Amino acid sequence: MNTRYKILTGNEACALGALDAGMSFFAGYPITPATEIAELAAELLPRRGGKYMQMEDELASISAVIGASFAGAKAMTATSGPGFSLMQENLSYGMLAEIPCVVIDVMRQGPCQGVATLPAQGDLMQARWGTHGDHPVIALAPCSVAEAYFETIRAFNLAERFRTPVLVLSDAALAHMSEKVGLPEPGSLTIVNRKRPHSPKDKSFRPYADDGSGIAPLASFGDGYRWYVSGIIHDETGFPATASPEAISDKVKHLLGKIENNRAEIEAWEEYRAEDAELLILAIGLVARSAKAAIDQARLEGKKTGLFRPITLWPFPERRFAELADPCGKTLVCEMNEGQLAGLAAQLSHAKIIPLNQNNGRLITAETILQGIREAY
Amino acid sequence: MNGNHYEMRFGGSGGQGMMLLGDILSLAAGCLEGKEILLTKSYGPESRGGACRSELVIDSSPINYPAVFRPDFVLAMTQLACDQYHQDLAPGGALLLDADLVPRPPAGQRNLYRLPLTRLARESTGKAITANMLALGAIAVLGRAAGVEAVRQAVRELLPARLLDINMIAFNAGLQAAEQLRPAGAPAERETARVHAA
Repeated sequence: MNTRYKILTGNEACALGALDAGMSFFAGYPITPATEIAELAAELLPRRGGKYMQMEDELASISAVIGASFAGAKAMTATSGPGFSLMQENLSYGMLAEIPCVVIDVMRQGPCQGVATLPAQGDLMQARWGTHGDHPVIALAPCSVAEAYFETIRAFNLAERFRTPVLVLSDAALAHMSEKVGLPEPGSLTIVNRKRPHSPKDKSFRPYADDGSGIAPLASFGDGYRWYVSGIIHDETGFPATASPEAISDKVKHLLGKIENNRAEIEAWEEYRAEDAELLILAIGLVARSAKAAIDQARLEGKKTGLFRPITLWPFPERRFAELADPCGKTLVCEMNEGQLAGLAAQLSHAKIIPLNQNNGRLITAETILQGIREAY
Repeated sequence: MNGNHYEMRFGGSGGQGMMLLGDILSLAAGCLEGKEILLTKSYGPESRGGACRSELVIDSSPINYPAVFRPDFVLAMTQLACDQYHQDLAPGGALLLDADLVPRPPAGQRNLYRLPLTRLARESTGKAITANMLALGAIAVLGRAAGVEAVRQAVRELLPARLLDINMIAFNAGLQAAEQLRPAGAPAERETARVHAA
């Protein structure tokens, strides 16, 4: 009997993954269907020497998370659509000030309060463009409880590595369903921690100076370094550099470049029976699992179909997608929204894009996708 | 559906322990017997009363959809649960009812098992609340989720030690009741189902 296996819900897996990644601070405000992440963090964090803070709303939650990270903690919050909307302003603060943190967005049917208990994939473009200005985004989209655990760990690692907020897009169905998770042996996980500065703690300290790696070391509040942090475009001193066109341009290019130039390290995807496919399916999260069942059935009918599932949704693994989609000629984009990925797929590939959208709070079934395959093939 | 795919639904009222049944059988089938499992739960805002159910999919292969469509096994602890769920049963599927709480079983239903689960719980442990553990014992005999020993082990792992004895009494009573229920000469669905409580 393997006692390393546990039955967990998606929400429990996110909380445990965060703890195993080294989370030492959680601030949040309860919201269906994400609340259990906060509950478990509240129960377990104090026992592991961490802190849980119940905040008055989501604006305060993301602010506390960024503040805690600035003070050296590995920090996370979890929310759903309405709360995710409220967090957008300070998410861009974390992006510009380059403060790592993790936000779990458990997607539910929107817009507005929508349907609190039902799953959707309506926040894909909000995750990419929810806050203003050109900004760097890393967003991960797990499709199973086990992947929710491991992708939450990866989210912390990427946040620490690239000094930026990282999003995990779960959904109401994944959040509340239970599956078996093989938990790794303690100590076997690769855990990334932010680089800390070793320069003298005097006026020569440049908090945003590139050390040659493209990512500046991050001094914690309280370390003894004096530096200025704000949401204003700054130079390497941290002070506003709004009068310099070069400094403004350099900052934006740096923020985007640290993601764009490291795609190989960030991108992750799954391909299923895609090599000889004549019809490619693009799907993320739980929808991709229905797609797999549909693909197996379609192949029994002689329809060569395959799957491309981005695990890293942003930055979208666009090169590999195009490599697979272009030769197929046709791509069926299955998503629980009105076509957020379909539009992107049309930009990225020469293939004919056939959208299969379902936006009714129900997961797309294999039967629905199989019907879509039959019509598209 | 392939031969290894098995869907179960446990329906009742809040407080009858339908969620815990799903947890125990998930642990038994998933962690102790190494199968793939997927468990979902549905309940209202009430902590007691209100329709609730848990649904468990068991398979030897990865499970693609987190829902039960055609259950191979249904437990109904209320008339409402029985009325709502029996027609979803897969061909050859089994229906286990609390004989007292479901006074009107569906007519013509094959593989129908009626046990006074709550009454037997009261008789064996003095507590109606252990009816779900009686049902669990019966499910271990009548269903194909997991072997009796794996289910017993899962109960030990999930329940607090101070409540173990009373729940084991109820579990064993459920095993025995289901064994007696099975028509003489009918084969157990799995050999381990014959194992009785130590």
